[in-house]
Amino acid sequence: MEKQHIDELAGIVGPENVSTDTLELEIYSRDPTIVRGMAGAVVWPRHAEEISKIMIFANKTKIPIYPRGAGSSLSGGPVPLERGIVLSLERMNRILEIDVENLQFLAEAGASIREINDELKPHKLFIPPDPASEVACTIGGCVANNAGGIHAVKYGTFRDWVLGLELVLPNGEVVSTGTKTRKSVSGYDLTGLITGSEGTLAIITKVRAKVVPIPETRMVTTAYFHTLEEAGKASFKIMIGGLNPSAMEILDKTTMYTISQYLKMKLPPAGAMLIMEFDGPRDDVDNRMEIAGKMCRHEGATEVKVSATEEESLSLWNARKTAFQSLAILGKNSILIEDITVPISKITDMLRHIHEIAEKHNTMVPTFGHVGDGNLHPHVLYDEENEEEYKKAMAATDEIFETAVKLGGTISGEHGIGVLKRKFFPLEHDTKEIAVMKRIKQLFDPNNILNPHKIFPEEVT
Amino acid sequence: MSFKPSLSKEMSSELSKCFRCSFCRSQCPIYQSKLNDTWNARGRMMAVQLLREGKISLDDKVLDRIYTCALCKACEEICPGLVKVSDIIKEVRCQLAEAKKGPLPDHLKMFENITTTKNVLAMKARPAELQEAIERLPQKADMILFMGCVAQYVYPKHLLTLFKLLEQSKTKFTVLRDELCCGSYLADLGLAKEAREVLAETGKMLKERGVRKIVTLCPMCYNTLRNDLPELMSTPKMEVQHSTQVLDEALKKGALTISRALPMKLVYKDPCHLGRYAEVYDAPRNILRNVKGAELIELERSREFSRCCGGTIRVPYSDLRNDLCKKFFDDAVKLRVDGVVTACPSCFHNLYSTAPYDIKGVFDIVEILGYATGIVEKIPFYEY
Repeated sequence: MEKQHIDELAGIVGPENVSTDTLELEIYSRDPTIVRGMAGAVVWPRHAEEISKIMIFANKTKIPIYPRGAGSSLSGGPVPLERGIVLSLERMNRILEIDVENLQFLAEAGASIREINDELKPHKLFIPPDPASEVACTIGGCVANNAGGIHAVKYGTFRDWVLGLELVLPNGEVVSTGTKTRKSVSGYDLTGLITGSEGTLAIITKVRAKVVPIPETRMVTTAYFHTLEEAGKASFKIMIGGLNPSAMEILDKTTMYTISQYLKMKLPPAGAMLIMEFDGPRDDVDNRMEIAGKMCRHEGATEVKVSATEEESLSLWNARKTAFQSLAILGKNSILIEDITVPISKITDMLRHIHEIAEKHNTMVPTFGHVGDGNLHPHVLYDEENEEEYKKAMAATDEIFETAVKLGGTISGEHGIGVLKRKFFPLEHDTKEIAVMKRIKQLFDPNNILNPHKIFPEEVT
Repeated sequence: MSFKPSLSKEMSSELSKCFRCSFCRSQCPIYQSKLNDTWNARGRMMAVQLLREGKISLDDKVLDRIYTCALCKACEEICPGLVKVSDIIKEVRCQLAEAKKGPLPDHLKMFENITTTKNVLAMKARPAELQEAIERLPQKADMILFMGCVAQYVYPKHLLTLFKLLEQSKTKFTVLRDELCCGSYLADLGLAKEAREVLAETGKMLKERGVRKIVTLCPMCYNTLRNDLPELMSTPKMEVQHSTQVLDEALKKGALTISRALPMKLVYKDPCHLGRYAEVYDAPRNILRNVKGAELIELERSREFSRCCGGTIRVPYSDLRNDLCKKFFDDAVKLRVDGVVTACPSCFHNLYSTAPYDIKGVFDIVEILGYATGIVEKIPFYEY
């Protein structure tokens, strides 16, 4: 990047908040995925006004801007595909307001979910969507990607909780959207439009979102089945039975094995397991757990365990939370994490297809996920150095996406499209729908300087 | 500067386990001070990989990232990949030292200090009060109290109280009158050969004197003597305990009894080397719970998620140390505690040197117990 441009950026944010050193450029050019890029500069603005000036600068110079929160994206979303500017929001991390009376908070985009939850805890409140990365991920990133997590089955994704945003538009205008009220039909829902737009329409600088009281109790029931399909069917029955679990997770045989090895804990021999959480008043929770247990047995569960205490529940969640890292036991150094989501009535079909696809391509695809809302994480494993394995893994991945869409599902339930899923985008959206989306992008960002080449397949861009 | 670390097979495999999830940003104290990912454990791991690939060269900036890791292991508690971050950093430091590209000049001074004065602080003699007490100890005993550099030369009162507590509980012990630094700092800085030489001397002394049990006040000495010494040389079986474990046992057995109340709201600061390194979390808490009138409060970040005080990086990064301590105190002040208690002379030093006015006192746990058992009349540095 030219010296005059760097000087201009330094003039906006201060020289201590801009870097062109290779170390920063390399580190800020990656997220956890395989997507590669290389930034020309990294900036750390501290106010929306600074971001506004950066956007005006970007429009003038046509240098692309890549907003970044914690860099924990699983889609390649924050990766600078061109030699542009990574705009890190990590220094805009203040929690501005905890409004206990109105059950909401206001925070700068760079505050992490954990940090906000820590502030909410003394008031016995919490943010219901809980992405697996909640310790790290930022509220801005969660809204930009409409993140979900294990509790989305009851509480939905961030879209259901965001009330309003402060945004910097690509032309530099600072705009506030939404209201403090829990409902509003006043004009177009710009908050909703920006939520899940993956940093391509505007830079989120502040988020106002609803919170709820921490439930009186949270308890866990586990059920073990012969097959993944049986477990999927039981989950479906519980969901349509109106038992309203706050989490409904499935683990396949491979993941059960890796967790038991990883944690050196014993799990009953089974082909699949369900981990269900119910929250609310204790009596009500006990009652729903009992009914869920009966439903599981009816669907062929070999064993149903009701956790006796909250501590026991917690240890089961801790086991579930190690599912991903436990896969390391399988000895593969690369992983494609998918987050396909299908209508809940198709969950057993999808589970069966994943199994068949894995067999067909002779690829390991341990699967677990949020079965209650139809969101599965098939993890396609391969060794990076082994080209044949890589090809097989890619073929299996392609087929998993195609199948999900055929079943009426989506290619991304909670991670976003970013770079990794761009090529699958037309599977789910026809040209007319994509054209509308692109016109919106054009309206917000006529010079295509904000996180370009994300979401849409390259040929459409 | 060209430098490509060639990691051992084990550390290469550890490094490959980092999948850049960034969970470590929630724990890494240096990241939280700098708010720049290159100072985070993820950034450091990526930097090591970039060095290996020749994509970055070794400059002052990269050296800073390598030597500011406090080796506090906080990131390892949250790491989904279970990456041994501190072991990787230590191995890189060893290679830097071998290539004469590290450690930093201030670090080398520490080694020089040990060679010339037997202690890392370059102190010529122990404070008279401590020296006199040492003279009164028996020449020989099965149990050695390993005093450590910081307590001996800077906070001798902590040791004097510990002497009294051990005597009161009828524990027979002595010290190594010619005690040498355990070398923990050197090992952490990658001066592996020098650290081994220093530790071997201590090992030789312990062997010659037929020591069966070692008690330490310093958690760093504790880990070095408990883990590194048996790896370095074969010695007769020696039990190693931290002083909090010994004192907790003494209270449980009734060998020590609490006679005085200390009506204070206290928070216990887990030293990284006692907590995350050695998983000694309960012994110090048990002691404090025994103290009448004292209310023990847990911080949101305690036990395995406890904040680091920056002791291992104080030289030469004192600004970072100050900021790390500030963040710890911010948490404590929020809970309106009267005092902060720790069980590590280095943590004590860092906290005591940076404590805000809102905190009435910073204490070593032996001082609290000394006062509560009536062994000492007042707590040093604190006019109770």
